[in-house]
Amino acid sequence: MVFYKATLVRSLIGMPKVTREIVKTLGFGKRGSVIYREVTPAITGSLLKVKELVKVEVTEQALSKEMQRELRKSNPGFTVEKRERVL
Amino acid sequence: MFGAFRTTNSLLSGLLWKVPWRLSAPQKRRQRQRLRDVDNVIKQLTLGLHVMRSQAKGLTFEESMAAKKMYKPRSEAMRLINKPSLFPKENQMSSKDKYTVFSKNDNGYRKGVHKVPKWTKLSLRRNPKFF
Repeated sequence: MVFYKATLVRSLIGMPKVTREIVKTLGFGKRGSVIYREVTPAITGSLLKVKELVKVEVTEQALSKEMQRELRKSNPGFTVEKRERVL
Repeated sequence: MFGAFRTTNSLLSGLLWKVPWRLSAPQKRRQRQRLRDVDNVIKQLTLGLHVMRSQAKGLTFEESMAAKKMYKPRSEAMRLINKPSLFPKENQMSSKDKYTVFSKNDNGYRKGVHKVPKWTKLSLRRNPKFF
């Protein structure tokens, strides 16, 4: 399986309704949101229509929201070994 | 002076709201960067379709990414957009085409690309025939 990882890098302010609908149908939210879609000619065509607004990469795996959040986390510099309940 | 009372041409002389006739050097630089970004999106989309076809033939992801010969995309739109005559890449375009567009009302039939509404979110790469 191969996926497109697409990021919405330009805002939709001032864009025509048709463009907004394509972006919405692809599953983007706000600017900066990331989607993973399996490569099909149909998805390619949709991304091609909004090529000025997105950034696209080809990946082997699609990451879930949780996995994307894990990747964004920084190294805290310590590991929690035990938690104690404080009353 | 800074802030709301700074001395700029537009604040000292009333109505002054002009768009210069040509792009500045940083504007041109950003324009080239945007053109390259769009080129890269097209490249990745084509690559995705190539990998999809390679995988259907039994190749792995890594093998198909490293393949020297690329499968042609089985999509009319993708095939057309990869043609330099229809959608030239940034390095295939002349500076005239990067920074100006055809305009039937202007002298010399050209005007700065920044005069086009929403020009940073549009692809204006092709000229009409004979221009």
